[in-house]
Amino acid sequence: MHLEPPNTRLDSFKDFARHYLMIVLSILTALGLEAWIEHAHHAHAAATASAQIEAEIRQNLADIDTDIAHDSARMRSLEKLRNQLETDVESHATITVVQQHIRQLAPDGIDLDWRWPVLRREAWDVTVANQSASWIAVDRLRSYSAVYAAQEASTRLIFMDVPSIFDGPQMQNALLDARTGDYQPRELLHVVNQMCGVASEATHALQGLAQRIHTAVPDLAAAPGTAPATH
Amino acid sequence: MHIEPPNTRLESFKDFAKHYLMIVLSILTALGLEAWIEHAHHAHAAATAGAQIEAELSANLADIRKMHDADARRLKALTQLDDYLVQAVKSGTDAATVRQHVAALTKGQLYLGLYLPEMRHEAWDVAVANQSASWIDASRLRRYATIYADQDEFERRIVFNTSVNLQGSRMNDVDAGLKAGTIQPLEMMNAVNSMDSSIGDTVVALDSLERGFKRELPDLVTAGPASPQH
Repeated sequence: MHLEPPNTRLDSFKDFARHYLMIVLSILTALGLEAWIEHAHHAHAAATASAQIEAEIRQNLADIDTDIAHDSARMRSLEKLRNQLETDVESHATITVVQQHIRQLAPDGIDLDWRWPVLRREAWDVTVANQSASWIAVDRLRSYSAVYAAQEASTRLIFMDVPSIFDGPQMQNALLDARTGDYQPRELLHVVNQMCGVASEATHALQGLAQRIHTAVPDLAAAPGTAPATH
Repeated sequence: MHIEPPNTRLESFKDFAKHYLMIVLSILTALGLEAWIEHAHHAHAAATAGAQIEAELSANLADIRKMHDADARRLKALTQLDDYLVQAVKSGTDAATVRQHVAALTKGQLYLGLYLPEMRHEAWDVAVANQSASWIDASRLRRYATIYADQDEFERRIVFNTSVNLQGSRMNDVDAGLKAGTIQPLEMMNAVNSMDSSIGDTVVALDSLERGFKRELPDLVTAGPASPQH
């Protein structure tokens, strides 16, 4: 708004042009200053959001690495037991011999104990919720989005996949039968083979996920000093 | 706003600069005032959204505790039953005796099922939808986001665990078989063991969820439970 009192006259085109120019320049300056301050805030918000997202991705990578190590160890251990049971079933070994082999290869009892990390995503959720995602460079934002999409897809797939290759009640029944000492080695072989399948699927899915994350954000490595994976 | 005093002419660069500076400052003042008013609105929106989110989380926490206690009670009873059934199967106790003992232990009603909390999230959805989340304090927002993510993860894992481990349809058969006096001890042992294991997993998961609430929002946890809204 521009209130011009009496006696101020724009007597010529030159006067008009001067005032016009002055007002345009001053408004542009004020808006520019405001935009500069806002830009500084946005850049700060984007940097904070990026740092939090990257810390979260690093922690997820560390948890993925921990669980890959755990699941692959479970896979190897269960494979040994499965191979031994296969041999015992083929050679019609007695229950006593089978029991002895199980005690040797699984001294603490047969246990699946596969792991899948809780892949955190709240840094991303916060970034979307408080709109700081708008101020992150679009290419970088796309990379982050690819990481979270890969996490989500892998988790959804493994949770769909496991029930199709693994019969939980069958395992529970077989392990319970083993506790009561009344079981068939062939049935146990089937169950242990399924357990191997789960550990193997989880290991490979986590390796695939880690690879996808590294491809999306090659500059990010797992956080040092890995915390115990939660699941 | 630009108020030009009488007889003001832009005859020199100094005049021009004076006017220029005055206009810039007046516009910045106006923008600042507008920003201050907006900030007050945003702070109010953030406070409202924060209060609604905390009320929602408080109700969720109350439901989590309620369901945890119910599951823990059922777990205790089922573990006792499971231990008895394993011993009975091992020692070859006859089916009629086992059924009679189980009926006595369960007072004729063998409940097999999980108690699960309903965890609402619409206050969070609203805060994101109307952008009031942008004005909530960053660390507070992060804590809310963590709890809502924990809730989602809990639900996802419980759905997965029950789909993999629970012998769902056989649970009803056990109850019916017990009432009809036709169920065999081995069948009952397998079903009870499956339920025992699923409830055990659920109790552990509910414990972990409650710990998440304590870690992220200790003031909410110590404020005492609100009554669940459902």
